[in-house]
Amino acid sequence: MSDEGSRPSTGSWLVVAAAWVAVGVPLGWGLWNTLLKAAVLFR
Amino acid sequence: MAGLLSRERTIAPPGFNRWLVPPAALAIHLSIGMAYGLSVFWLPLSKAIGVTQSAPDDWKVTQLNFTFSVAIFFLGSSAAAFGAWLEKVGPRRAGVTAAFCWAGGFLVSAIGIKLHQIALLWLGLGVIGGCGLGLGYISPVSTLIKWFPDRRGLATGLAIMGFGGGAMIGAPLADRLMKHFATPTSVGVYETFLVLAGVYFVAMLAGAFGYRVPAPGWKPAGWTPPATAASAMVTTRNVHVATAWKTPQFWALWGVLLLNVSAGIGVLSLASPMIQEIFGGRLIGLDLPLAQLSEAQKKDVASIAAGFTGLLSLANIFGRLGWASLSDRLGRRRTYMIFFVLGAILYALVPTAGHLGSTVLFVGIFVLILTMYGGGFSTIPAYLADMFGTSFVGAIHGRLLTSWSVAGLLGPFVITNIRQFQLDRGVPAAEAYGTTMYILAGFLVLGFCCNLMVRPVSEDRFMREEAPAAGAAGGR
Repeated sequence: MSDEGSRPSTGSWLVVAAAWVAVGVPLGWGLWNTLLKAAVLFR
Repeated sequence: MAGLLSRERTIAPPGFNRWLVPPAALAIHLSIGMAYGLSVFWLPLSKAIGVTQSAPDDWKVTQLNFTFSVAIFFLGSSAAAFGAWLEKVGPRRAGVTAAFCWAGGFLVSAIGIKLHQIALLWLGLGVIGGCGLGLGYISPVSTLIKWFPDRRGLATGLAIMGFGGGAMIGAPLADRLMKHFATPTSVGVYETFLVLAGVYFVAMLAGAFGYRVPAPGWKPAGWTPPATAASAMVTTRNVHVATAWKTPQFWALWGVLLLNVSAGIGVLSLASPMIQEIFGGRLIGLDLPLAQLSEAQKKDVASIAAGFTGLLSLANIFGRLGWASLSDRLGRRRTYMIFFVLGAILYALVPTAGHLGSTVLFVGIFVLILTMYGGGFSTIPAYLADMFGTSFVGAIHGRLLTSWSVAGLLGPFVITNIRQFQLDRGVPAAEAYGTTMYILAGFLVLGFCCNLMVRPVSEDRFMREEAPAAGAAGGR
């Protein structure tokens, strides 16, 4: 079985976006908290 | 359940979008990355009985901190021991096992807190959780490399970035949970462990069930694999894991990782006290050494040092993604050459930056150093795939991670002892860092030599016929 060369469907990009949001939101929250902490260094 | 976890059930159907695999890997790495944030529990746990202050029977922070050392030791050991098993059973079963171990580790440790048995804490988060770390860490590596033959560095960088970022989410979350659960008779860690066990179990299961391996012969649409290896340092064939670890290339790369990580761990452990002792009052606009500051001023300085540590963790994370992606263009060997040459220069410049009194230069040097520390972790799987092929890269990577366990002991040991030796000889605290940094720069020079020794694997080491089991569904 080979799907060599087959391109992902357009709908699959929506699932990809949802998956990235699911990991991106907590990661973004963590980054934001860390940036706030690091900002003290530049005051 | 057993069928759901089998390698055959994870083979991706035609048209599967490969960009779904990195977030699945990130879900697991962000969960296990909390290993770096475990220190958030040590202070509250050192008051588990006394609640407001430590009681005589309360655990010491050094006892609690030992949990982290055990966990890192078992990370390397389990990655080495179970890497070949992972290649056989596939990433999903390994990811699910990692979820049970990591969440189970929190549960066993929660019981340890309830019964006030430190051994259960070591067994839980140290031994069981440590095995979860090892399995979780290597579970997506070979799968990602097979999905992204055109961008191996980017793919592994995306996943391993999560291990650096896990504490950024887990530590503030744990802090909030402990505050929520704290009562006049409890510090709230037991309940926090139970919640975290649930959260990590769900996140890791979601990640594990998101894993798919490419069908045999799959390649990205529009991508043509080079007819011959693009360079002598990138093979299109495979070395079996049982052979790979007997090659000089494996041990040279083992040394590369050991020395890069030892130097990085060393500098990380020094960063906060170093900026405070070197710059002292200058961090808050006063031209006074740290010892002459009031308690309130020292608190302000400590808060700035905490910000500095936060900035370094960002550098570590973005270095994991940035350098690994860049290595797709530069080549792995050249990327590590940059780490070791530029790194050694930067480490040696740290004392000068301190003498010049330039905070910006000092911070900038540390940020660059930490990007290369992170980059060292995330570029190594792609380096291994280049040298030994993709079929057994997960298992080979697992064995290589034993160097991380050794670095976890070597780095802090060297730093602590050199520093103590200098202080005992009467060197002022603020000046005791110079020699340490030069020795760490020496580590990187040795790493440069190890990297120079990495040559193409000799012909007789490659498999004559491709292995039928491991990587059966992987791109060969």
